[in-house]
Amino acid sequence: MTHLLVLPILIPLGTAIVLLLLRANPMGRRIVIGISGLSILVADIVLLTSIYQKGIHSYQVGGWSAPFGIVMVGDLLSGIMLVLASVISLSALSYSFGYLKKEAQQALFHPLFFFMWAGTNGAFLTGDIFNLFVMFEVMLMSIYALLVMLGEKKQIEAGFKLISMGLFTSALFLAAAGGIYAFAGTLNMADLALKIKPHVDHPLVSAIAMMFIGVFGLKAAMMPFHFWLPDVHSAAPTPISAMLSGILIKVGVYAIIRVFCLIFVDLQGYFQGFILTMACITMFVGALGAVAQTDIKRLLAYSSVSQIGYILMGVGFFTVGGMSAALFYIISHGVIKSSLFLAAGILKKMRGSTEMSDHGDMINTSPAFTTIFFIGVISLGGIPPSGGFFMKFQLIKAGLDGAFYIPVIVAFMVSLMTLFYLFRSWQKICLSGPPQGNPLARPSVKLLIPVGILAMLCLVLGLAASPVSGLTQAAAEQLFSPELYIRAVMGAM
Amino acid sequence: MKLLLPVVIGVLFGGGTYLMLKKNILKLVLGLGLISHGANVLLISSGWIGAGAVPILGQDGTEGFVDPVPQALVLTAIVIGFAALAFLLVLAIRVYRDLKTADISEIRGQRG
Repeated sequence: MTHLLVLPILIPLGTAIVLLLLRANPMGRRIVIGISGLSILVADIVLLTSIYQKGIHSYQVGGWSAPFGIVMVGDLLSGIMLVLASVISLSALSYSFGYLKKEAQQALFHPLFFFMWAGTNGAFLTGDIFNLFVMFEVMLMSIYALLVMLGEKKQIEAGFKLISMGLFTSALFLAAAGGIYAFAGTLNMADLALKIKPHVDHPLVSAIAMMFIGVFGLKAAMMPFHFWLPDVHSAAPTPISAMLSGILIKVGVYAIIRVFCLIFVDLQGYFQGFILTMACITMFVGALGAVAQTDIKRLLAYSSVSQIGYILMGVGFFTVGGMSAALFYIISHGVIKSSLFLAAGILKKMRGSTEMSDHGDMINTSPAFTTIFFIGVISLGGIPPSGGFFMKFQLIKAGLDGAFYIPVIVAFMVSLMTLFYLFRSWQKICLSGPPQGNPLARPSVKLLIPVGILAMLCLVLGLAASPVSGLTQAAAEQLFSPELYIRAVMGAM
Repeated sequence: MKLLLPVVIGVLFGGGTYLMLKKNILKLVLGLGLISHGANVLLISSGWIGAGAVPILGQDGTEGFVDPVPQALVLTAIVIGFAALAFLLVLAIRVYRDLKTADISEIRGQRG
């Protein structure tokens, strides 16, 4: 098999190291970032098309065959997540040049950013539970540093919360990995699926599955574990907020999908009620929190909690339709939420505050900003013709097809709340009269361009909904035939 | 030995949880350290310890060896845990300097 599968990890890793060496050379750094950022995007797209045409890819690192060596696996789900990650990362990267004014900040920011990117891509590609842990740590460690990098008071505070949470999660993850190794004697996910299948009634298996839900739920901000997210996502520097809400909380959802569609396939029915209940509560609590916010970044962060509930609901149906809808939701929410966060960063740059009451009259100050923000609002609110309409439509259709009426009703109610808090914030920021204090400066074009591109993508997702949902449908079908994955890793049996 | 390890793991997890419930920021950090060591010991114990021999090839037979995989894993885990804990300690100092308090319930600048 080709070496294509390791490129999405190796390129960002190499780039990060080169960037560290080029600390004193801003121009060189810019060239390296541009070239390698684009080449990661190209590699991801090539990988996705190759997976789509030829089926699941696997790569034995160092030539040690599974289950003994380290294995990288690319199926459609990983391919989709990789492309999404690179689109959002590229926008956040180009935005960071306008956002971080000082060269010293950029020299610190960009290597860490690429380390984070490498960890994220690694988490999507690994086929081994322990490597998943290591990739999570690579990603988290970079996030810790990126979060507290600017040294603002609330960032230090949020950083302390995030790292305490992260350390605890790591310990839990290690304990779960140790438990599953003691039980099955392997850490390779495909091998685990084979070894666990005959013993699925063993109480230890369901206990470990529950621990994995806890670990990944903490990363994804599922309901009892959502408390850290609003602080962290709103305090982080804006390009990192966009990355956190756009892609990094989805890493947790990705891991839940991977574990429950491969290792614990037979426990899907057992955990369905729990996941659906938690999804509904997550949706509702997040929206309730968002309604009460006066700070636009905190509002968006609470909204992310609520939207994670929607995604988990699609996953919790455990049907092909539900999974396909959840994947479509992951894609469109990633694009929409990162564009909204980046737009909030523009507000912060204009007046040094993200409180909604400090802003107003954007419709006269910057019609472009108003339009972009409006596109984000209607997309997240689920109004056609944006991609957001199709994400909600597919999810609700999948729920009705599977006769899950209560989650569907909750989803409808929360949608109304979503519309309310989004339009209220848009109205406050864009339509209300000019704020007190200095007259507003125009937002810089450098910042508007990446946000505008993401907003265009929201609309494109609505217009091109059918090819994208064809892709997610294929990915969902692949997820529900785990024997394909196992055969790709373990070879013919 | 068979009984000792579960007791050690239990004490580490229990003590860590107890310390984390305290209000002092340093105790939280120490508690997290204890819990991650508990997880490390748990991981080590997943490869049979008992009276197992050192897993070095070249001696006779393949029976009676300790499983070397968890030892390799735990080495990685210790390094990662150490780095994260060191970072957390530095941040704890920053929090103490910024807020002039080591009381966790005072750290509530971002509520709501």
